Amino acid sequence: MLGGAVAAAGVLGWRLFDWHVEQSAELSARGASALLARSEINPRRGSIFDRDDDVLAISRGAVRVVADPLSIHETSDPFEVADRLSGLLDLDSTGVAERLGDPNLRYSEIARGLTGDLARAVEAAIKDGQLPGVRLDPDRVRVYPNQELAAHVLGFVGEGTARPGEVVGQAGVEAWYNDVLGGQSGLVSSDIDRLGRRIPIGRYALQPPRHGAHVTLSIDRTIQHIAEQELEAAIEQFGATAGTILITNPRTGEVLGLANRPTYDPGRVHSYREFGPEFANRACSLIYEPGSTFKLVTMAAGLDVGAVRPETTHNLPGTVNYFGQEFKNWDERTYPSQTMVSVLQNSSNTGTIFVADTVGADSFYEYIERFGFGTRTGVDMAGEVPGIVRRRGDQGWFLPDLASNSFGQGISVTPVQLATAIGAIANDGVMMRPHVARAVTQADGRRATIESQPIRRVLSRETAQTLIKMMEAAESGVVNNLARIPGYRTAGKTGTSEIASSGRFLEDTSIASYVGFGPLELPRVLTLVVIERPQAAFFGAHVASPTFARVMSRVFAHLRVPPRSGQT
Amino acid sequence: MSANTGHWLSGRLPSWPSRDPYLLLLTFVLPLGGVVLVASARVPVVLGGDSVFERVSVQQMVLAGVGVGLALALSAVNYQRYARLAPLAFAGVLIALVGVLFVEDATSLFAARRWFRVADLTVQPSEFAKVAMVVMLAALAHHFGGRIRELRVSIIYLGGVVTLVVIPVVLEPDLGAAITIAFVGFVMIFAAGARIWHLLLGFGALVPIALVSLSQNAYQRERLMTFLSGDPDINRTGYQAAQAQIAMGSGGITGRGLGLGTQKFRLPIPDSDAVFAVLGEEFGLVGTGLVLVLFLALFVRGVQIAAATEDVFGRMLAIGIVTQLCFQAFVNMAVVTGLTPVTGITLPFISRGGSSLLASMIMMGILMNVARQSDLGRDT
Repeated sequence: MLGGAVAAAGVLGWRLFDWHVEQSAELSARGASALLARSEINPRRGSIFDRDDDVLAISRGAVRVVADPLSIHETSDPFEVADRLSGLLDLDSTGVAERLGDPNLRYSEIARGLTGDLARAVEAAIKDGQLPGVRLDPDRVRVYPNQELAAHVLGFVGEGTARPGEVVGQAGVEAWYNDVLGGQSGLVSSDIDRLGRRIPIGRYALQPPRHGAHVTLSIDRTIQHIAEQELEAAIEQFGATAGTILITNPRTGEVLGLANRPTYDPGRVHSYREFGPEFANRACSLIYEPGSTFKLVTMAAGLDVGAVRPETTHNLPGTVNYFGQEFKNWDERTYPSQTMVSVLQNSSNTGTIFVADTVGADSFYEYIERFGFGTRTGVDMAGEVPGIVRRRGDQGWFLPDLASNSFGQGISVTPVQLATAIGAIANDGVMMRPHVARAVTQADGRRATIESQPIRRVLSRETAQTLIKMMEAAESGVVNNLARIPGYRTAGKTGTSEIASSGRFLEDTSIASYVGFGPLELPRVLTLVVIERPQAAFFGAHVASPTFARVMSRVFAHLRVPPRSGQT
Repeated sequence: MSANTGHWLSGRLPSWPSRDPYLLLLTFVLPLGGVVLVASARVPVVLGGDSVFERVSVQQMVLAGVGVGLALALSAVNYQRYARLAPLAFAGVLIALVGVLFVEDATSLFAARRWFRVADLTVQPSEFAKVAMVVMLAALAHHFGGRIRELRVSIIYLGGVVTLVVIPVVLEPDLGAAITIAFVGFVMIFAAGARIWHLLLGFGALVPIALVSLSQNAYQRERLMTFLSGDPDINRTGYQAAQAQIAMGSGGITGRGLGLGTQKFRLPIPDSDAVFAVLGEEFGLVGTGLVLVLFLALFVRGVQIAAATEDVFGRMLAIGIVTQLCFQAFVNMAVVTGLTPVTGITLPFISRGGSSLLASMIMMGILMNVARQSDLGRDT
């Protein structure tokens, strides 16, 4: 009997030695790692302000409605609960019932991002015992107090995949400045017991999150309203399908207002069934043929290389055969001894063919490149595309393309590219990088201004001033010019582009546009109006010019730009 | 100083119960260790609650004091008096064992019916049944003397006593306790001089009981399969074994120090079945080795006392008591160290639990009296 006892004790003793001594290092390491739990702490996302520090986007505390289907099945009727919930939340009762239907589930999300009265109503119903098995979990929600206003500038947020509750900007400023707004998540690591609670005598380390910074935009809320209203009005008046109004300060590159139609409410992104065209920031991601607005670029190149001067004349007829392809003026008229000012005034295609031919293809495409066409401007909103430019030597470029490019056909640009390029003319030849953010304010209050940057000098100062004078003269020569604003000197150009679809141009429809700036004493507002597929009219001069004039006059009034003395 | 004896206690307290230094040491050290370890193992409860006062730890302290006093008092009581009390005590314990099966206790683990709830205290009859069975078997062995070699005596009478205790305990269900009780019964019947083949026959009779128990209790099967598979799956029944192993390994040779173990936050019942793992983490190999040596010393001392006792009743009591205490301790330590399947069995003297502690101390008291009347006691 003693022998048996000693043997049993020996086996135990061997096991104790094995675990306490032999395997000690490995076991204690395994224990230490099994014990330690890490969880990330979500940082607060910074806000987005307009240039007067009014809120455009802000993160707020909210609640999400969560159900425990198992407990609902055990304690009451899921259909009754679904009825009450759907009534409170204005949801489809069948859909809610489906989410409560599986009694094997312990977690089912019914609604999220609830705030205010709705959250209070659900809370009251839960307290009354009307919603057994339903609870409210904390949530955060991105609030856009102005709904659709500047939707495409702001963008929207969605849920990230890196950690639960991660918020990620998906478009616009929210996406471009995601790292700035998002901050950095914190980390808490602690030893936990088997129920996941912290062990008070265990290890504990907290690395607090770095909260996101606030971004202040150059957007002026009044100018933004003007852009939204006038775009809406023009689209309605002409029965158009879509459009963009982009208002910048050409001296700084700041975007003062940017409106697109169709549009969306960034605070209600989850309620859209699909990612439709309303989400496109057409100012940055729409490519279109700029048409006659591009004649300013051709003329600038001609003046800057010295190929033409304002008084230079040409004698090309109304219809020209250029290397085998026939080109016509829009009115098919021939203007004998046409001056360069007249080319702009009559928007003569053959006139710009003369200029481009005189400049020569190499030089012409060099200027297109200097104006930034074919490359992204670097504007600080997500989703910008570079446009399409085919230069001599590129695949698919043929000799007649020099002619069509000279009046804005066969080349695709984005509205922000065109506004930036024309801004160089307004800014004495220096092209500024377009940007929508003015300042970044860290969570601790430190504020850093985002400086305006020149991209490059595109034209000489003289060329720019000469071209502005030509534009002004051409505009004042146009009979019944709808782009003119009483009391102010502005310069600009209309454009009417045909829409290419499946390799051919669609008939009876167009993209009507106008780009212009003022006041010419010191240009500080540039407006580009693009109206797509107007039904009631066709030409930029009829569709876009009046909108340009209304926008500019309202913006001048808002900015207190004094009218010329003696005129109102 | 008295001149008639060499022992320092005997002169001043001539009738002082026990003079066995080994048993005295064990009687004080083991329950005291239990008080310390239970208090440490209850730390998660204290930190999780809103009161610093820990009822269970204080209870354990009071019970340990009562237990030590009880053991010392019983060591002064002539053990031969128990021979006549044995049938009565055994009958009382059997009634309690059957009665506990009719108690519905919603708070118990695995729907087991093991406890009587008296006011704020719980009484576990199976702990006292262990004592009563040892006394009963010893009394029967004494009564039948050499007739133990008859099949009727060994299997029907003595085996019947064991079976009467084992069946209600299996029904609770508490297979671990039943196995311990059966093992002690076999050892005692064997020590009384029964024939080996009678014992094998009796063992054969108990196997069906164990199989029926396994077939009725899924958790028992699961524990057995977990053990046999040799791969403790951390999330389920192997969890306790895996956590205990980590506790032991983290303790190393000298341990993290009293109260500083973290595994007690993860072990399922650190103050009871797994208290040996808490000991291993906080006191290391030094602590677990010491407890192992103490129980081995108890067993060796018990066998020495039995060998030095002419009286069959006293000899059988000594063997039954140390087998009961040490085998249960061995099973508990073997479970914690993963040598046997998980079964809910406590470490005598040390685990939390009043019934277990008091029953153990009663046995220590009886053993001390047997020792006193043995040749060992008379020699000193």
